[in-house]
Amino acid sequence: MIPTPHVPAWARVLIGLIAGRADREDLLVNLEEGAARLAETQCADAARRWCRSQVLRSLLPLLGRRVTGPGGPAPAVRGVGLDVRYALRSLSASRGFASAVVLMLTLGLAAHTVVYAVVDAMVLRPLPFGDRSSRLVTVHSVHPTLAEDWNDAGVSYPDLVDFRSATTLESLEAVAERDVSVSSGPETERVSAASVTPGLLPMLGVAPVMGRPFALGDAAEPGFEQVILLGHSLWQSLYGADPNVVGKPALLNGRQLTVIGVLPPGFSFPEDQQLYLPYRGRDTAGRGNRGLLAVGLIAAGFSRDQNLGELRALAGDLARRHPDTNRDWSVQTHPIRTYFVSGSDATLMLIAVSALLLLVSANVAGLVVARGLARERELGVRAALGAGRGRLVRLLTVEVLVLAAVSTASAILAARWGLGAFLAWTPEPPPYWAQPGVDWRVTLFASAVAGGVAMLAGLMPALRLTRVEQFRAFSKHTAGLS
Amino acid sequence: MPKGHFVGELELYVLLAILHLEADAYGVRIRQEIEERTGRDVAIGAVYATLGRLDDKGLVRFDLTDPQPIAGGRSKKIFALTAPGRRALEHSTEMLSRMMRGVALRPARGRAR
Repeated sequence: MIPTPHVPAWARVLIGLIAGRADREDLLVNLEEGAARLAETQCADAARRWCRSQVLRSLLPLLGRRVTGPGGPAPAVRGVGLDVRYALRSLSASRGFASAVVLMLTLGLAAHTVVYAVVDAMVLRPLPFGDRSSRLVTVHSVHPTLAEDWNDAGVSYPDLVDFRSATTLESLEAVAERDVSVSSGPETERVSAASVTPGLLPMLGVAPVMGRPFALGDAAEPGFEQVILLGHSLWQSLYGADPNVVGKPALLNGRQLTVIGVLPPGFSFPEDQQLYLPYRGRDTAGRGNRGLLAVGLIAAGFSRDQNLGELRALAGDLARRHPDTNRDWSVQTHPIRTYFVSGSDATLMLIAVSALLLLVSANVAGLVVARGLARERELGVRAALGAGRGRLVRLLTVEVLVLAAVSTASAILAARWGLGAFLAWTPEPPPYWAQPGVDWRVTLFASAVAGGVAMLAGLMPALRLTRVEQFRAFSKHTAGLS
Repeated sequence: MPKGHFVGELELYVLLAILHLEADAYGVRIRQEIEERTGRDVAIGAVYATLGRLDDKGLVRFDLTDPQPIAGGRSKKIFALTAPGRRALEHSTEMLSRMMRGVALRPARGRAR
């Protein structure tokens, strides 16, 4: 490193990044000399100010030099600009070819984008439960007589209470889905509701945007609850987004309860529930009544296996103590994501549409070859006039890239529509936190895929068409002309 | 004279500053020379970008000095005009004075410089 005590570190880094390799060191040496002289004749502060102003005002000219200078991208970019203009002109002369390619690529890319959006939502996108997402598990009862793929049976309330003693769990809560009629004044709606143990929403990191959360004392057996929490969309539809809704009555299945709060927009759990009731199991509930979906938060520092081991030990203990209801019953846990969405199906679909896209690429490549053969004469003339192979390959590839760009834009529009249709068709809509959408990530991915397809369908044929022997044909065609 | 050998304003200043400074013609001194003579506070990066362009055109060349006599001291690039550089400078100034001939520039009002 050059000793430059008067040039601040940030300036050294900036100059290192922006100045060309040939100038970097000399520029720093000179900056240092200028700053050192000022420090000597005036003061250190003046030197610092001068240095800062010099470096900041130098960035633009240095960047310009990097771009337009030798080895910079500008000359190459100018060449590609010419190619794009030429490609547009020559494509507008062969509209049949252009529209066939755009149509094929649009369909292939749109199908790929729709499925990728689903995979992204279900498998790739992080869950909305913050840093605890990876520690959340669903807990299920399993019995050897249950079919192997029936691994999502519920848990009974007394078992749940006993499982709470596990030290590898930070908390264990439960939810039961139910449908209720709810009315405020003249409006009545049939909505999907959830009875939740009071600790569930805090465990998921969800707090009401208005009012208060459930307290332990609110928990009651089904049919005896006194309070409800509203989902955001129900608050809007049933109460017209009334800001003073807290404390207002709600008629639930004909019984009057009090609204104590409104949950954040977008939230619903476990699926599309819009009304929440505080739950406590009946004291008389039997252990055989395994109807609750149990959700646990594994204590920090423990693995899912450690937690499962402890829960199984507890289940074994319960089986000994309550053989009537618990003999041979054990426990299984799933990470919360895999319980709700089957990522493997979506991934299989992605593989299938990727194969489809490969077929599309092969078809487009075929069209490009056919078109290239028809243009043999033109390519031959270009080669004879001194166009190198690289130049010809670029010319042919840029045409496909232009078509791919147009197809990507139309495919993304088609995918937005297609995704809506797909979600309307799917029998079980995914939970709110796995709702697929064509967002910037999906758009970016679709563009990258389109670029790959264009390279495959454009570059391969271009390399093939510009082989030297291809041009022998040209000399044959033109032998009689000279 | 090829088209590439016409020089722009800052290029002209830099070429002239190199002639003035002779053996002392390196980055920060060239910048200072221009500032002292024209009153224009040029960024050192602009001087380097210009020197790079002039080098591309073959109008200047540089020699490296011996490293500065301090620990970790580095060499500096000392710039000089090449023969085409001199010709380009003569050509540009000649063209400028031809264009100026017979033109009466009114002094800027209210400014005595």
